[in-house]
Formats: sequence, structure tokens, C-alpha cells
Amino acid sequence: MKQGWIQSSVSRLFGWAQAHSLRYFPIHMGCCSDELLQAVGCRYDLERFGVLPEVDPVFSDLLIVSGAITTRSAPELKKIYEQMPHPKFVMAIGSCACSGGAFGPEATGASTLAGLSGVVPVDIYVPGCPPRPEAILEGLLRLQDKIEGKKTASRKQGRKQGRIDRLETDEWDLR
Amino acid sequence: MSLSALWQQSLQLAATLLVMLPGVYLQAWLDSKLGADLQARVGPSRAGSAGWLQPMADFLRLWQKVRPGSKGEHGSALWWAQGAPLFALLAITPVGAGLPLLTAPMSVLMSLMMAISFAWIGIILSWRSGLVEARLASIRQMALGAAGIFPALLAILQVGFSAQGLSWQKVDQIQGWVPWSWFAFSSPFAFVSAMVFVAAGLLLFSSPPFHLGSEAVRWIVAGFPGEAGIRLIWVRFSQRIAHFCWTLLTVRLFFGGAALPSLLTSSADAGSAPVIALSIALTLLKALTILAGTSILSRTLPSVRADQAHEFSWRVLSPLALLALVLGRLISVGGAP
Amino acid sequence: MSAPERLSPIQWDLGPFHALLSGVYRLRLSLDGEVIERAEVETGFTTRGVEQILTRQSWRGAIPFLDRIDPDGAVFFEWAYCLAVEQLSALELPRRAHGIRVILGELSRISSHLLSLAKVAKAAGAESAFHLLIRERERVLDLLELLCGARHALGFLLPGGVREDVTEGFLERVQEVCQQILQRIKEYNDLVTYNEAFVRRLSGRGVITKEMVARHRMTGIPARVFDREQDLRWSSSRLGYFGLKPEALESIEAITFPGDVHHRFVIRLHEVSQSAQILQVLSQKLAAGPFLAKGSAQLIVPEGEAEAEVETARGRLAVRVGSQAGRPGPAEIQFSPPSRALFDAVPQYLVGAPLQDLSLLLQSIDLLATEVDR
Repeated sequence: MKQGWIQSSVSRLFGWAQAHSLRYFPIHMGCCSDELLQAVGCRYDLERFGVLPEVDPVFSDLLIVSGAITTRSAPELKKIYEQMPHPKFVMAIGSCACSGGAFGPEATGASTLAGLSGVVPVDIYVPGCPPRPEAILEGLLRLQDKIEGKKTASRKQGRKQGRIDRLETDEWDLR
Repeated sequence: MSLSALWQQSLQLAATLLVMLPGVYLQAWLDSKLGADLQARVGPSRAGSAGWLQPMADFLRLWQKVRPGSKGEHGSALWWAQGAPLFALLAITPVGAGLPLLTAPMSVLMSLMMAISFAWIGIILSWRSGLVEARLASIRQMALGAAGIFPALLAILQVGFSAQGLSWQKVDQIQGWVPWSWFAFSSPFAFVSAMVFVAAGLLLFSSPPFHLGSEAVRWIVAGFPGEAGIRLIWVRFSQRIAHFCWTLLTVRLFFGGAALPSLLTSSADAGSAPVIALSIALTLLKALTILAGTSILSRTLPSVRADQAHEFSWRVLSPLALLALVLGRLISVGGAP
Repeated sequence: MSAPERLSPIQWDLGPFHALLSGVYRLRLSLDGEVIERAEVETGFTTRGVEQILTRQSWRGAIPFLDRIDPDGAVFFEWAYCLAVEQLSALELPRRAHGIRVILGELSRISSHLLSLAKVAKAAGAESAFHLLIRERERVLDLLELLCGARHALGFLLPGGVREDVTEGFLERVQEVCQQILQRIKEYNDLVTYNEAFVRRLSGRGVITKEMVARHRMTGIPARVFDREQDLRWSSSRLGYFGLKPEALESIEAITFPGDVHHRFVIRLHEVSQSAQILQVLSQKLAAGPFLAKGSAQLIVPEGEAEAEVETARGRLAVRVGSQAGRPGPAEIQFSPPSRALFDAVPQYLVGAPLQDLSLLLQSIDLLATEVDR
């Protein structure tokens, strides 16, 4: 039906736009923040995917939380999440943000929460301690797929086309 | 005015609008790619090949944003009021050969005032939002605006003296299409005025390197917090559009404008669409070159503090512009061509 | 935040998550127009209870937790802890172990300094410098990955030495990278440090006077502005910097104002080159021998208490480790990080600064909230 075609095209267009222009508000709670900073740098270059840091949560659509969530900072985090306009997404980087990690309740840490999902709804989890910048990139690409509505099975096609490319730098091969 | 003339003027206006906005788009894309290249990176490359759709993605993303909770405090009337100067600005910023208000006296100054008022309504709106940082930002913007207007006016006066009038028609008459006939290269004082005008534009619209800091500081000192959706688009892009129009003014005043070789303009089809299109394209090309230069400059220099910006304007730009004006007039009155 | 009735004084709270802050802490400002009149810092948002968790671990099992207190200076916390445990159990470290620890320490120092310099450059608006310094840091992180297998959470030190010997080719790679760093520092000096616009932006801002250093007992670069000998690497013999002190510790003169942001920037860059030179020397003459002390496999730690201190990239880190008979790990552990003095100084440091300089000032003293909160 014509109505359905227009609506789905428009929503696909907006989905594409949202996926390719993610402004994130970073919350650096712990050690994984370093890897996010390195991912912004020129070897991994997040800006290739249209992902840029944003200063004000009011203008951002992705909340990137890295590090252990403490009981004291959880309400503030929720306030930041509530300031963000819809549609919004949340990414949890690091084992501490995903499920509590080394300092979480499983390790009988007294003041940390068992992951971010108790505070805000999480869209994508990037585990690691800390995850490499390539893992963060993979997480962002999967989030892009999720926003555009693609099934993750199409990720395998992406890998064949070499979707995660690394810049050729004059570094030696570590392997 | 007859109906056909009105119709033609509207067509030209629409053509101007159609041309201006892609110009802003190209400038945004060029800025991100050039900046990335200077920083040993690649820049946006996923949204379309070489990232040419990245500004489109950024723009479309903002359309669907819905602010949770309360709407803004100001009524929508004021926001739409910003559309009037935008429209006027786009209407009388000269892009190509055929444009309205060509012969109106003081039309140069009109374009200038439209650009400034367009950028400044945002300041008034941010004051009304009542947030601490918005109020500090608006005071800061107004002060910088005053710092930028004064040297710009002096530079325009120089053009006006040489052209003996301040309408676009008269300004076009003193320039040709070859680079050495441009006004900026006609004398060293004219060149100084041209550079002062470019720098004043950077000051007025808080463009880098006068953007007063990294994103965080800029948001504090010159930002417009509190909006989402369409209003955010207005806010985000108004300064960029105003700066682009300012660069078009620069090109028109100092760098040859839309002048084409006399072969094209003296023939019978001088007012025809291809010739107009060519003049528009030429103007855009020159404007984008200037903007590419300021892009590179902004990435290599650190940001400037607000008081440094004021010092620069009042102690460097204005005296330079005044000196160039006075000396240029003295020498030309003294007999040199 | 409600609309202010007049513009001075304004109370402004920068909450724990704010782009201007250099970490997770709350800053309460009292503004007079755009100038900061009063400032208060509130830390404690990233408290994870590390010291409590450590008391439930074994002696070796405590190492991974120590890595994660300071992301870019992981080895320093491990080092301080291992020194204290070695003092408790009277282990004698072989020279090679000291050497490998110093290599890791200097590499971490370079990485931490480069990150701090990059953050200062970003706060000042020199974004190209930010990217270039981050690119440099990538090479150092590659070296750390080559030796330890991880970029940030190294987990390489043990009470008694280090976990493994250096891999083949590692020392040559260290020399290559240090050579490159020394060359690049000349480029950075031309591009950034002595760039007129950059100097003007930073000059006279954020001055830390000698009186402030003494009053808050600051260590690290703010202290070394006035006295280059304030460095535990040369004054303490437990760290293993035998014969590595540079001959002439010349004082770096400020080209603008002594103790301001630019002066500290210059000194930090100089310390990067100093560390690179130390690494070049050490990678050539690393002592041969075992890398782990005898008796570290079956670690017997008698009851008692020991203290140790280490010079991290930010300053002096001290630790006190207490052990009880029968416990498989530390009974009590307490850190005294260098950022504590800096946080204490923030109220005095920020007075009189315009709001535009806030981010620059906070990044320049290199505060780390996670090591203060632990």
C-alpha cells in the first residue's frame, strides 16, 4: 500500500540518519574510559562512523557508560539519561558496566551495582576489562545495525567486505 | 512591478536559496574532511562514499528528536521570528549575476545588517531561557558582535569610497573576473581591508579560531542550551549559515564577486540561465576556498580566549582597518589610480 | 537550575558528569559574573571499595585489582604494593626484576604524561595536538601490549619480581619507539609548545605558587616546577633507578610565568623526553639474571606492617600494607594517592579564574578521581 511504503521509507531514512550520526555523551566512571579516548584517536577514528562526542546530554543520542556504577553515582546517571531527547540509546562498555565485573557485587564490592541495566535500559553491551578499541568499534557498528533495523546475521556479510578497517600505520605486526 | 518581473524575481530568489544551502552543506563536509586530514585521520567515511552524506545524516537526525518532559519556555512566535531575517538574509545576499535589490543604495549595508540580526536573535532567545550559562553566553556573544562589526564597517567603507556608492551595482563595476582586477588585489590597503573583513566575520559568528574553546567551553560561553528538534536545527545551523553568507559578502566585495569574462556578459544571452548558473558557481567556489582556508587555520591554531578576541579586534583589526582606509583614501585622492 | 535574579554571585553546581570536569566529582562554584569566586570539590562518586576487596584476596590475587585503580598508571599501584610486601617478607629482588619494573614504570609514565598533555591541548582548543599526542601514545601502548599482553590493566608485577621475562625483540622495539618519541617531541615543540598562540592562551593561567605547593604538600610536577629534585625516582633507593639519573637536572625556566599552565606543560613534555632517554639507556644495559626472587613462589609473609612509596606520573603514591598470621592475603591496605593533595588545593587554585579557563585549569593539574575515591 502506498501509505505503508512512504511511512516505511521515511522511517528507514531516519533510521539511517540516526545510525550514521551518533552523538554520544560519555560517562567515564573507571578505567575503560581510556580505551574510549584511544578509540577517538587517529588509529581507530570513531569519526569515520559519524560518532562524535557531545558536550550536553540534551543534544546527544547515545549514552556511553564505561566503568563500575557506584550507588552514589547511579541517581545522577539516571538524571543524565532522562535529559536526553528521544530516541536515545545506551552503550555499556566494560565488564563492570555490563554485569558488575571485578568490583561488582559478585566480588562482594559493597558500593557497586551489578551492571548498568538496573539503572537505565541498555541497548548494547561491550564486555572486556578493558575492551580494546576494536571491540568498542564492533559495539558501535552493531548498534548502528540495531538502529537501522538490520538483523545481526547481516554482520557476517559486513565482515567479508571488511567493514572494520584499520588504518595502515607504520607499526609492526604484533603477532 | 509587473507580474512577469515579480515572477522572475521570485525565480531568482528560489534559485539563490537552492544554491546557498548546498553551499553550506559542502562547507560542512569540507570542514570535517580537511580537519581530519590535518589530524592524521580519515574523517566521516561511512555515510555515503567519502562521507558526503554525513551532514545530511546530522541534519536529519535532529528532526526526530523529542525532548522528554516540558517544552521550551519561550513561545514559538519568537523562534519563527528568526525565520524572517534568515529569509531576508538569503534574499539579499548576492550570489549570482541576477539578484534582487541590485541597484538599491546601501544594499551592501542591508546585507550586513541582515546577517548580524540573524545571528543575534538567537542571543536574545538564549537570554530568555534563563539558564546561567545561556545568559553568560548571550552577553559574551553581544560583546564579541560589537567587536566584530566595527572593523567590518570600516572595511566596507573602503569599498564604498572606491566604488563611490554602497549598492551592489556600483561595487560590481570596480571589479573584474581576473584575479588581478579584484578589489582585494588593487592595492595593499584594499588587501588589508579584505583580511580584516574575513577576520571580523570569524569574530561575529564565533567561528574557529574565535570559538572560545573546545566544545565544552563553547557550550558554556557561546552556546544555546535547552532546545531540541526543529528549534535545535535553527540554533545549530543559524550561525553556520550566517557565516557562509558573510563569506559570500566577502567574495562579492573583495574577490571579484560574480564577475564573468566580458565575452559571456556582453553577448545577447547575458541574463540567461547558464550564464547566471556559471556566475553563481564561481561565487560559490571562491567562498568555499576562503572557508577551506579558515578551516585549516582553525585546526592549526588553539582557541582564543574571549578577552584575547576583544584585544585582537580592538587593538589589531580596527586600527588596521582605519589605517588602511585613511591611507588608501589619501593615496587615491593624491592622484594614483 | 532556576533563572538567576542578578548575575552575581551565582551558585553553579557542575554535577558529577560534566564535560568541563576532568573526572567524576562535583564542583560547586560561586561565580561573580564569569569569574570564579569560590570553589568546593566533592569526591566519592567512584568509590568501589577497592581497599576492602583487596583484604579478601591472596597476595598475588590482589594485583589485578590494583591495576584498575588508575587506568593509565596501572604499574605504579602494583609497584607500591609489591615493594611493601617484599619489605614484609624480606625478599631480595634481582637486578633484572628491578630493571624490568623500571622499564614498565617509565613506559607508563610516558603514556600517562602524553594523555595529560593531550587533554590540556584539547581544553585549550588545539585539537590537532590532541590527536597527534594520542597517536604517539598508541605506540607506547603497543609496547606495553608486547610485554604484558594488555594495554592498560597490565597485571605484570608480582611480590618478588615480575611475572615473565621480556619477550624477544622487546628491547629493540623500546629503543625504536623512544628514538621516535624524541624526534617527535621536537615537532611538538614547534607545533604546540612554543607556538605563539598557544603560549598566549596558557600564559599566566592557573599559577600554583611555591606557597601553595608547601601548604597542600603537593608532589609531582607542580612541586618539580620549583625544585627538580622532588622526585622519588632519584631520592629513593628501593625503586631500582640505579645509575639512571640524568647528569644535569636543569631547572626549566618558564617563558611566561613560573608555575602557570604553560610552565607545567613544558615540564611535562620535558619529562617525557627524560623518560625516553632513561628507557634508551636501560634497554641497552638491562641486567641479566633471574626476573623473580627466590621464595616468591611460596610467599611467606610474616605478621607486620610495611610502607612503600612510588613516584607515579602524578606524584608520590604511598601505600601501607598490614598482614596477619594465617591470612592468605593482605589484612589491611591503605593508599595515599598524589591526587589527594591536588584535590585539596582545587578551592584555592580556582579562585579568580574566568569560567573559560576552568577546563584548562582542571586538566592541567591532572586530577584523577578514581585514585582518590578508590
